[in-house]
Amino acid sequence: MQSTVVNREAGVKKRRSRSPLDRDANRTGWLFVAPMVLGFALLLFIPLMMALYMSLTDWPLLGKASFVGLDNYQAIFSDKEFWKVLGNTLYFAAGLVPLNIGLALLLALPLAGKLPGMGLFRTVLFIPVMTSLIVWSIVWKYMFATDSGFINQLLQLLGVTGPSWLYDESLAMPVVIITSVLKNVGLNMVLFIAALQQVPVHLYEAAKLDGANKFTTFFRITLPMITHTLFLTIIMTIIGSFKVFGQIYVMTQGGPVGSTEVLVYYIWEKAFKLYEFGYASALAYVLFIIILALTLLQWGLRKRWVMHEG
Amino acid sequence: MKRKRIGYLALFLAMATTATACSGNTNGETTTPTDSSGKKVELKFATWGNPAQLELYQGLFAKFNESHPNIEVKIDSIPFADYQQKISVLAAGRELPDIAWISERMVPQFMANDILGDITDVAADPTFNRDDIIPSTLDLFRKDGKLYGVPFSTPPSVVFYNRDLFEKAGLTSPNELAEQGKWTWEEFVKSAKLISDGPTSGRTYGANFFRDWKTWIMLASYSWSNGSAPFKEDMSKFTWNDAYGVETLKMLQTMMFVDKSHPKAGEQVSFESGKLGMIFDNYSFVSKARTIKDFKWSIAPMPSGSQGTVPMMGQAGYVLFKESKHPKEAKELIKFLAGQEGIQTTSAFFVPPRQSVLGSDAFLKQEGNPDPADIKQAVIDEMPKAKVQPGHIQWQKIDTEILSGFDRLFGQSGAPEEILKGIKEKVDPLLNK
Repeated sequence: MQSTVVNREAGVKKRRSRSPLDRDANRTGWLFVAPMVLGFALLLFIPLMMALYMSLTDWPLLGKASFVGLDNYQAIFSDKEFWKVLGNTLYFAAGLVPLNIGLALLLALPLAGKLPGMGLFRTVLFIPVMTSLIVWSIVWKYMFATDSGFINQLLQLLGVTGPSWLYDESLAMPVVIITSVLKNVGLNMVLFIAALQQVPVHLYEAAKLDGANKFTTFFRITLPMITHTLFLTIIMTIIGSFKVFGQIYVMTQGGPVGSTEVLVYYIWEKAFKLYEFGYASALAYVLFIIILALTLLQWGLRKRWVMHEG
Repeated sequence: MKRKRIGYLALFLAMATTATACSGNTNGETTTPTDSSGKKVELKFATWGNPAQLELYQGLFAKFNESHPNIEVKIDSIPFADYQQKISVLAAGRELPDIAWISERMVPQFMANDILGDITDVAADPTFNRDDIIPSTLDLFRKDGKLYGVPFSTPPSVVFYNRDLFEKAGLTSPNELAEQGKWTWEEFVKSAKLISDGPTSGRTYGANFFRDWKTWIMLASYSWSNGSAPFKEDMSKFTWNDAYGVETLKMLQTMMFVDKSHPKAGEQVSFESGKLGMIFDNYSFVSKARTIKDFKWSIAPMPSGSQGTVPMMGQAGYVLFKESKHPKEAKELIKFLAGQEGIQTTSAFFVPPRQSVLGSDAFLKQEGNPDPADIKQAVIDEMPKAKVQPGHIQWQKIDTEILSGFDRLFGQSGAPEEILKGIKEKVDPLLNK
């Protein structure tokens, strides 16, 4: 399919300008992008289409699959578990996104300065981003362990008996959120630092001359000047929070009593634990549509608040 | 025009991210293709064995190689927690090994999937000496008059106990109590309470029922020993919501929150650490317990109820997969492994299903084993009373639902009666699917 596109496009070009040089350049161009196009087709596009087909069947992994049309999608809407899982996912996103963005910005403000030693702090805060998510989650699982965990031992020193963090229905999700924030806050922080350093100095000088205080300067100059980065980080963080899986898999396995069972974990469980591949694929497409809708919505709202737009 | 392009970009962004979200989760090991150059045959053997057990198997395969120089065996080791899932995925990808370990809870699914090979003729071979195998251990693998597997490990659940802690608390050992017929559930709860000692952090606990907070099935022994069961005999109904099920959960609740003799959810107290008086586990745990150097330990029968003791029987066996390209050679290997010599060797770790090996020194007198008299009392004498763990095609779902119920007990967000009723509402429909 890809190759017909190539031929047609090449054909159009040929008619427009018959220069052999152009033709050569065109061919070379396609050669250059061929690995990417092939990779996309083989590793992403074809599997995506297969998953779409799978979502219309009841493939049980072993045994025959039969075509069931939109039954899986219909079943999702009457699946009580799905709505609970969606609720958990929204809870995770609602906790993670403001915390992550807020903390990243808070850390970026002093670290964007030119004070000595800032490089070290930046590096330290960025290290978790480079750490494997699984390793990070295992370490934090031990930190939050009930008896021998670092956090509960600290509390013990203060004379407080810590709770069973990861085995308490109301505490498990906040713990996972905090662990995830600490893991990824460094990335957004670095993006904010880059954005803050690009705000022209003369704007601050002018504000100073006009007698603006620190708050006014922040809300009237700094924040508006970094809205494009804010926009990017918010989109990326929201998408990321809908995709959360690794930390849940390692730390709670969706428990206790399903209180941390999020959408991707539910998909994984349906597919690889219960072998309902058709249903799991349909769930994956529902997730895709949710993320697409959220992204489009933000794209639409962007003009309202991002500087230099519209 | 511009808006359209942005729309595409957004679409692409969303697509790419969902795709990566779903693709990152299944990286299994890649299997190297077997090259069958000449007459040499390579058999693949899947197992969840620990390193010590794998070493023992390497030795067995070397021995097998002497009589069958053309057959090479390659071990594929998969952790137990992922085993059933991995085998299912391999089956779907037609990449199954030739032979494998299988545990009792996997049998219903793999039989329903029709991936097991018929090995009736292996057992029929006179050199195999089938009559030596305890007949009931073959029931699990039989279907429509054909045999689909042979057992190599038939461990009853036992109580591993820390003798030092029992002595320190001035308690009579469970073996002695069992001898006198006094090792009851009440006595067990009392002993656990008396052993428990110390502050919340680093406390010494009397007992732990669970391995990794997952093995709730060990608790079935309470109902069994009182003439009831968690499930109806034919697995058509969940019956743990009866008086005995409620008593089971109440016992656990008391131990956890009143006596503080059982670790709280999430606490990682191991028997090997010496901070646990008793654990419930299959006899197979002995391979790990043998490495304990810091304290004395032994094994005892499960506590008894009004109907005596009823331990849970675990079972593991060898199966041949239907799609094996070398069924003849694979059957030879199974015949060797489940035969006299194979079972004799593996009895270093596993309770042998062969009568002749069960009483032998190879099984009883391994270095680091507890007193042979205790093994006789807790294992050999208990085996005829043991019940095989119930299996079901929907077992994974049933297990998840029941664990979810236990989560509620651990989090104290429900009373035992109500929790069990909740489990029943979820599990009964699954049983009849």
